[in-house]
Amino acid sequence: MKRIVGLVAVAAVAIGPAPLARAAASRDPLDEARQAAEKTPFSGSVTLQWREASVLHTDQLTVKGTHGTLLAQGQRSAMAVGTERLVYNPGDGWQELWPAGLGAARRPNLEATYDVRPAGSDRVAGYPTDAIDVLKAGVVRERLDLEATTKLLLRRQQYDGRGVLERAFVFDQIQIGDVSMTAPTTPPAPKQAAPRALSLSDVPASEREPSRLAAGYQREGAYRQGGVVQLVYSDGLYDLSLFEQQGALDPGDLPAQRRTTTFGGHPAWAFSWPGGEGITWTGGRTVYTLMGDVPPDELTTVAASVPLHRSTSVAHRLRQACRGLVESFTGSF
Amino acid sequence: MNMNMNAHPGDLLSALVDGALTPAEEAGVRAHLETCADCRRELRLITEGRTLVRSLPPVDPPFGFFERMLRPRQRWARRGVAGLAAGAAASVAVLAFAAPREANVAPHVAQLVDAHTASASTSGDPISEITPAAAPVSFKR
Amino acid sequence: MAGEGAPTWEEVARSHGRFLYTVAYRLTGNREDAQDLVQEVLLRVRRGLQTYEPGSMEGWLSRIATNAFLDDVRRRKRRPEDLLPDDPDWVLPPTGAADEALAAEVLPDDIQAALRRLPEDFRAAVVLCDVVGLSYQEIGDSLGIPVGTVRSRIHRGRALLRQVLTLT
Repeated sequence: MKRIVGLVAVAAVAIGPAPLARAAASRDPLDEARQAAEKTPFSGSVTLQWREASVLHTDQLTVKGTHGTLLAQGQRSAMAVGTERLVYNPGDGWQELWPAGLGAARRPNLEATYDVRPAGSDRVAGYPTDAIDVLKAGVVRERLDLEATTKLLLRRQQYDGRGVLERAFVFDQIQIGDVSMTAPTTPPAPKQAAPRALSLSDVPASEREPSRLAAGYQREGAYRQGGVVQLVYSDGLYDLSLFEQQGALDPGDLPAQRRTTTFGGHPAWAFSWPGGEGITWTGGRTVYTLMGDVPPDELTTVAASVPLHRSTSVAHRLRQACRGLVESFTGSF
Repeated sequence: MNMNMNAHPGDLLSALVDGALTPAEEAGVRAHLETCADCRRELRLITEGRTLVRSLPPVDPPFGFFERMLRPRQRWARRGVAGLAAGAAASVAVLAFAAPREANVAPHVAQLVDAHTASASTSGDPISEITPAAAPVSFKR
Repeated sequence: MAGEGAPTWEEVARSHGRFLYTVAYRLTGNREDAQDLVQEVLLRVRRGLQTYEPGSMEGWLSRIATNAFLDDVRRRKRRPEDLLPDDPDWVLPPTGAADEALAAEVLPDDIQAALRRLPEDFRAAVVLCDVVGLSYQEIGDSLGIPVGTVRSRIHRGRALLRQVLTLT
């Protein structure tokens, strides 16, 4: 089944043959990698490394892609079909996480916050690569290795502020370019409701802020699934999701491997998983959870910038809203 | 419908705010409002009542409420449910006795992680963003 | 699977569970009763799927939930709390008491507590209108009452709610 991939139209980066000298001119290597992933058939096995507190974990999975469909298989399966995202849990079937109709989430320009610098050549899984460093405030945060011809991302290494390896994604072996590969079978209609994008006016004013967080993150979207509002922030390289739920937190219900921590004097609970870091805290009667595939020091910095006390009371904003409504019926009031 | 401008519209005020009046009815109510401070006050108060209820956020059930109802065999099911007979056809009435009562909410971390991963993978490089979603992960409590 | 194209109750629970719980919580006012109501609704959904007509699932679920709620109220023979004399023409107190400001911070819990003080018939109409977003006609169809009664219950419910939240 072919899917129209709209991401190519969204990309603003010039594409073309990129010998090393010209790679310096194309400033969003992840965008190039994304386009390569959509059109280059490949099949391989990947090693993931991720840090949980001081322990570096390792996992191995297989990943393949062709004709705009990607399938990663481990203990679960994750599939990308165009912009649709699905996950398969054994015993539970396929679940839609992101409907195609939402399109691609937005990101600001990478170079607004980061410096992109070529870092020579390397070899990964037997293929020559262009290495590219992505720096924030003069510190290398990620090194990307794009396959020299196709621009497929073969390795991605993330470092925290002290230069310690925090996360890594690397193909151990890969076959590229076998156009006879058939696309993975798209699953039948999955059962789970997927998030709905919200225009921000649909989100009650008390849940809408802030539009910016520390370290260059700006809000790019808002989604609702069930009773949870998800505000998505991006700095061009990473996405952070801020989830808010009303109620009182029972920490006993958080992941067993959580770590108690604080930021800005505020008690919080941190946890890790292969794809990122998360932190949960409370403010008033709201439970906040911030997560993303950033190092914990960055996550804590951004979490500290989430305002807990809204600038005006709920009642005040309601009266403002009511006044406007009543005035429209009665003329001047 | 009484179009007498002197008669207080009463519950037509709610209909006005809800957009449930015909244009003629609406014109009559507005005309009355221009001359009647009591009804303007009533309009303001019921509008506030309406807006207050409309500002209520959705409510989450306690963690695992539906998971327990739909997947009674999950090994992280809470006490009391783990021993139930399996199968989606398991009686909802039986589960009603086993569902724990909780007063608090908790982030459904596994679901939040999936939701975050899905959105992040559409705006970045999909391979490196979505592959971790297939890795083994356990958020046992 | 019952009916052509009708969902299974598991699919309903997965896709609309949180919506259903929200409606149940706003109707009953506490988590224990809300959970009971959700399970009762899903039982009725299982039995009633043959009669499901494709359309608004949320509207259909709201109708089942509200009727299950009101059935339970009547079964328990609870007398609706009487906050007003039984005078249909009188909505707000004649003095300016209800003009007092709203409390400085009106939390969702406060609004929910005020909702809970409404007589159940008023509460059901207000929830269907302002939580679910149904039209007067849809509410009338759900509850089996004329549109004029819907309007009256919504109006009195809102006025009562606003009065209860007055800062005293």
